Amino acid sequence: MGWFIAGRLLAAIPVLFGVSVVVFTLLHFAPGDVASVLAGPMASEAIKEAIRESLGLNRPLPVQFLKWLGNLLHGDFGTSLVYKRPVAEFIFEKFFNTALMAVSGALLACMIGITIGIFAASKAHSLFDRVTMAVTMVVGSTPLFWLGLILVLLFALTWRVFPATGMTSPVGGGGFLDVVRHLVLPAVAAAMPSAAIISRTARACMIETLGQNYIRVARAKGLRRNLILRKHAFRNALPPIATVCGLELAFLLTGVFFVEVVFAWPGLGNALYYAIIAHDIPTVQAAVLLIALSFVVINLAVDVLNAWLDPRIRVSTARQGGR
Amino acid sequence: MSNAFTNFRRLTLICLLAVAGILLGTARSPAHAQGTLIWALPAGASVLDPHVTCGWLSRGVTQQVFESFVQQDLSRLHDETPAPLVPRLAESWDISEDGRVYTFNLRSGVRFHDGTPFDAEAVKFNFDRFMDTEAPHFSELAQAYFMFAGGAADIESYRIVDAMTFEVTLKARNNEWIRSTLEDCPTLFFVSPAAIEEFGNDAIPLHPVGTGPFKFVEREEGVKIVLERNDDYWGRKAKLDQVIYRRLEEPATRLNALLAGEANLIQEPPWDEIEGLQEEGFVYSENRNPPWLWYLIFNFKNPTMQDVRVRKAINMAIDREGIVREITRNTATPAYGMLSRGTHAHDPDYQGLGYDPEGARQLLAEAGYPDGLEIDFDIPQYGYGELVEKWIQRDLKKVGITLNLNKMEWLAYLDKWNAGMPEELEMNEIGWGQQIPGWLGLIARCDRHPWDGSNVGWYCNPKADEFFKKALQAGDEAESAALYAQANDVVMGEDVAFAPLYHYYNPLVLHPSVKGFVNSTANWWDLSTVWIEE
Repeated sequence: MGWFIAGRLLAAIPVLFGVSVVVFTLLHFAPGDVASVLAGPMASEAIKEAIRESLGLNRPLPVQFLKWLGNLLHGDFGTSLVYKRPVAEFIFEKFFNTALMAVSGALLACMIGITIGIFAASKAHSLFDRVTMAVTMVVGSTPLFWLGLILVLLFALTWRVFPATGMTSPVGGGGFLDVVRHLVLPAVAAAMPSAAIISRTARACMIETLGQNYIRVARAKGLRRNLILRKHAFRNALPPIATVCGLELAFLLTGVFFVEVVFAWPGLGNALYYAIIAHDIPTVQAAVLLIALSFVVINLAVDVLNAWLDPRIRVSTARQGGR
Repeated sequence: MSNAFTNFRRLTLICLLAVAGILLGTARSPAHAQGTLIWALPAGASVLDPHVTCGWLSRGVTQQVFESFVQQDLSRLHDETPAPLVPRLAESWDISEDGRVYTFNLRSGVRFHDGTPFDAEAVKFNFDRFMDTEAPHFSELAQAYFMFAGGAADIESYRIVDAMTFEVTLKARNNEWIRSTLEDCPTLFFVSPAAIEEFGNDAIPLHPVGTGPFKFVEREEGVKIVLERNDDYWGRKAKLDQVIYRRLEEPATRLNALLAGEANLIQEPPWDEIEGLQEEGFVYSENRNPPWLWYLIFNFKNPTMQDVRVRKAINMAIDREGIVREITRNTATPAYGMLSRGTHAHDPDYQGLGYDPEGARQLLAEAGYPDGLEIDFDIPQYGYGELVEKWIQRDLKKVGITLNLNKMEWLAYLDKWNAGMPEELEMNEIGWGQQIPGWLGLIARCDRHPWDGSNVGWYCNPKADEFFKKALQAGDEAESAALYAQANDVVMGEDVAFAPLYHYYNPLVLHPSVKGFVNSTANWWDLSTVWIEE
């Protein structure tokens, strides 16, 4: 397992390097001028030139990139050109806010999706199965922002159970329960389409597992249905379900950007969007790198989880490591 | 491992119980805390350094924190526009006979929010920031902003007369000078010298320290800006305990915040919702004399647009009444001249080129385009603008003009806009204006071509320039208004350099508990009169 994790971590380095090169290059070729943004529309060309000089924007691109990379390795993400604060001061907070919603949404999606999937599989081709699968198809195809608006309409405006906007109450907010109250609707909105996809995957995996010979043997031995589902079928169907759950979490880390807009959630999505239009290159680079890093970590975690769940993967990996 | 299913079931149950607990165990917070105005902004405010910023949203915030020599009286509605000037940090001021020397008698006993005194030294410190290149706290950016439209270009010299008297000498009489210092781009607000020295020019936007009725508390980027009442304020103290500006870009989100009681004032409400909100008891507020307008700019370097008949035809082809009725839902009024309603020079009886598609077709035929023509139109990604642009595209199609919309992200657009139109481009657009009619000169004078100004369509007529020059030195407002009317006649009547579209009323919707709010003739507001009635 140690070799397995080490190998995956090493493989992540070129991925992150590649991402940083692409992001850096694309941003520098995007239309618009950082100096104009900073100096404002009234500044003369001389002032803009002075700003370019002070930020090192006049130097060759590879030199700028290497300098940025060197600073990054020292934990320095640079200073936001717009907020005039070190990027590290606020980007982690924004990332945490997004991750909070994405992880909550993914957990919710897994619980709902797996539950529905298992019940649908255990009653395959029944009316319950058909109805739930039809519903999941509709929900899975629904845009996140629309779901968000409907949830706000019902739970915030009509029944007044949860707040409609923000992460904390504007006045006197900020406590743990306050954040949780604000989190419920966005997390549910984010979870619904993922739950639909997970439920369909869980159903398919469970149906396949329930058709295996060892399940027939268990049935022939007279084991109770619940015991078969719980001990024999679910455990073996879990690896592909866990993979989908991991993918959905990774998707939600960027997918919740739409939910952030609807709920005015102060996450990375909003910060990234405004950094892009303001040509705030250090902020964009830090945000994209964090997203890429989280994708790598999630994929690694899913691989490790699968290896833990399924001994066959461990054995196969060990053999590969041995060669 | 063998208990995976059971564990999963337990986890689900725990989560369900937790949700129920949150629902049952926490009471919903009150809709409005005592005396707190929660203002939903449609975009982020720019930096809170009034000397190096542009934009009405940030000006709305700095208006509460900082003060200048004088101020427009936005605390009540006036019959005249713009609002009259009232003393602020200058108790009085004298203007010399020749209109060049301004002597400001400063208010004594005023302190900045950091406790340091306001006096002539503090005023000079602020002037040095954008005028004296040798000053340790001189800012090139501040100078650039003040030279553009902040009145610095008019200043010959300035000096401390005594501890509480300050004198500014202009190069020539400019009747609009003092008002030009109060515009948003930049504003001659006085910032605490101690704060500038402590935080430096780069970090002062994070620590705005003024003398105004509200003090800056915190800014959470992308989330909110919090101000609190300045209990040590020298003048009439504000009623509100706090003002919280929330950044809620999405119109539906702003609306939801208002309906859910999470904001009690929203700026830029969705136009289609205004009527419904009023029926639900919310209060609609608008400024019928906005100091700006939305307009198209023709490119005088472009061969097609050099023909005045084409420029006239475009003006006549646009159904402005339709735009304000169908798109903006009457939150605007059609504009036919270039003098905005928020200035003293606006002429409500001005007859411009009205909607006449048949006349437009004839003009195009006379100009040599009987089968129509194709023109390029640069447009920004900004608010609801696309609805209007599509409407214009449809109107022009009816008279045979194919309009190619070149849409650009806002900052990329501004970059291109500031450089002036390249020869191959026929026209672009913007929404802009000031409370001084001299603004028309900023966008139309011969000496304001880029990079020396914002005459981005390269228009030039010395006859108009002469009127602009005389207007700044006119004996009184009536004379100046007459001169601006003549300038407008040249710019719009003879030359048709622009196609003004509409005057937008800056609509706001307030919760009925918000009292004392005055929707002034400026693009910003005085919140010291506001309170929340529980």
